[in-house]
Parts: sequence; structure tokens; C-alpha cells
Amino acid sequence: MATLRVLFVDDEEELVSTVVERLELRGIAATGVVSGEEALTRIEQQPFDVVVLDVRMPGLGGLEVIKRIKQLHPDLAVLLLSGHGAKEDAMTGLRLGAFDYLQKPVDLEDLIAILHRAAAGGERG
Amino acid sequence: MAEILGENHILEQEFLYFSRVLSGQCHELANALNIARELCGLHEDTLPRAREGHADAVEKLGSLAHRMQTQIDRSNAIVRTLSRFAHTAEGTRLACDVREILERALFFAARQVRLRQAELQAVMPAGDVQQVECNPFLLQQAIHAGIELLLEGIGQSRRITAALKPDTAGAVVTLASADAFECNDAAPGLLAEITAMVQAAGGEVRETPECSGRLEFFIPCCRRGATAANSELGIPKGTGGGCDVS
Repeated sequence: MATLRVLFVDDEEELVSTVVERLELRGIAATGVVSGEEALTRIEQQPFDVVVLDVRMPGLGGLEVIKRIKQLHPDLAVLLLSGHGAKEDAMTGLRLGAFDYLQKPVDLEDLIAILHRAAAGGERG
Repeated sequence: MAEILGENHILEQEFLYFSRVLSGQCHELANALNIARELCGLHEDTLPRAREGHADAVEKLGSLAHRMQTQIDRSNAIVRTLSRFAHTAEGTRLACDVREILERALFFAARQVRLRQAELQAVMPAGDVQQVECNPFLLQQAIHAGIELLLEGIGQSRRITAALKPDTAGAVVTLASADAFECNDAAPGLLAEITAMVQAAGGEVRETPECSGRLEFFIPCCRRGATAANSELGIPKGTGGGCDVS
């Protein structure tokens, strides 16, 4: 099975580095960035199977980023991560083409299961 | 009737500020706990190799403990600040430590400033600032609204400075954007609301040329002394969120 390539985007740097390290320990090729702008740049530089996007970030928020991703790479799977207060935003994200949304905190094994489903273009959980 | 409507508007604004602070800080707290949770997970992931005696894994456990401590300290700071804040909502004028009020207002505004990709710099005096007499809740609300106004008008510099200066008759809080702009264009009506808030808090808005991108709040010193003022109001020691009787 090919290695899963994941881009993890969140403005909390410590969260990004920790999750990326944990995903890598599980054999996933994970890359982390801390802004929507950086995510868009990175997507143009290297291929990913799934992008995990925080909904609320300084600058370009998750919803704006997903819009731009879907314009340029309609087949790239995007998962949204939302806090408790951002559920409505996550629903908007689904309408914009997100594969699914997860509410923080997310169990890592659940995240990995959804990452695999999203990469395979499968059904939502 | 107009007076009742006016009072209702003020109460509505106070409630809105309270809920915005609460929701923003809940989000910050959730972020810190989330990170701590992932760090615990990474700790678990690292344990098997550390038990096998791999030096790098043992060292990693030490660094993970330190990183978890950082998130715990961050969470504690949020809870402590929120708790002090909750004590300011009693609606009375007290003898207050204006430095603590400003620091707390800036702590709460930090998230909003970060989301707007701006920088907030605090300039505090090195020495003591005499106690002021004000409604601490309204003063925090006015400072927060002032920062909001500056965020609306801020230009390329993306920089806001909040400064506290002692004054012979009290203290002056200055909020300034590095860029000059017309306050009423940036946020119509907000400057008038801020002026009303500062007045209701017991202070006054000074020297606010409408196009300067700068706000200056004067807060008078406590004329009767902290102990007298607070005991007259029946404020027990240890309450008041920075307005304790010392």
C-alpha cells in the first residue's frame, strides 16, 4: 500500500508538530504548516492525498482555503477540524466540498481511519 | 423610556463583552488542553523505546514533560485571569490596580489581535502606579473596544501599542495604532460608545483627534484611599479582580 501523504494545517504550532510526529510514527508522510497561506503554497509544491484544515486561523481561514483548494485541485480530499463553537463553519465547509469535519479533540486513531477513507474517496464516517 | 432603552443597550453591550471574552478564552483553553492531550499521546508513543533504553527516547520524555508543563501553565493563566475577571462584573466603582486591569484586557484581546494578523505591544511603567477609582469591568470593556476600533482602522503596520502612564491625578491608558486613520470611518459610532463606556467607568477620554488612530483614557486616582473606598462599598478583601483592599 502506498504511503499516505497528509498536510496538517493549524495555527497552533505545538499542535502541528506533535500531531505530525505522531502520524509519522504510524507510517504516514505528514507535513505541517501553521497558516492557510502556507498550506496553499505547499500544495503547489508537493502532492498530498489529504489536507487536514483548522477552520479558524489568522489570515486565510479554513473555509477560504478549502474554496481555493477546490478551485485548483477539485479531487484533493480535505478534512476540516473545528472547535466547539465553529460547528456552523464546518457545515459550510462540507457544502464547499470538504470530505468530512471532525470536532476537536480528535482521537488520533479515528483521524487516521478517516484519513484513509478520505484518500480512497470512500464514504464519510 | 429612552433612558430604559439606553440602559438596556449598555447592559446588552456588557453582556456581549462578557460572552465574547468567555467564548474566546474557552477556545484558548481548549487549544491548550488539546495540545496537552496530543503531547500525552506522544509520550505514550515514546515510552516503549525509552523502556528499551534508547537514550534519544529517554531524552524525548524529558522534553515532552516540559512541553506539557508549558500547556498546563498556559491553561492555568487563562483560568486565573478569567476568575479575576469574573470578580470585576459587580458593577461598582472600586479602588483598582489599573496595571492589572490593562494587562487583563490585553490578555483577552490577544486572540482577536492574532486572528487579525496584528501585533499588540504593551508598554508598562517600571514603578508603581497609584490606585485609581473606576468600574474595572467597564474599563476593560472600553480598552477592548478601543483595540477593536484600532483593528478596524489599522493599516500596513499591523501594530498596536497599549501604554500605561502614571499621572499626578491618576493614570493614563493610551491605545495607538502605528497608522493614523479616521476613527469614525473605521468603525462608525464606536468612538462615541467608547467615550460613554470610559465615562461610566469613572474616567474620561482625552485628546482624541478623530483622525489620529489614537485613544487616551484618563482614570482618576482613588481620592479616599483604597481601604476606605472599598470598605465603604462593602467589598471584602481578596475580591474585585485587581481591585482588592491591600
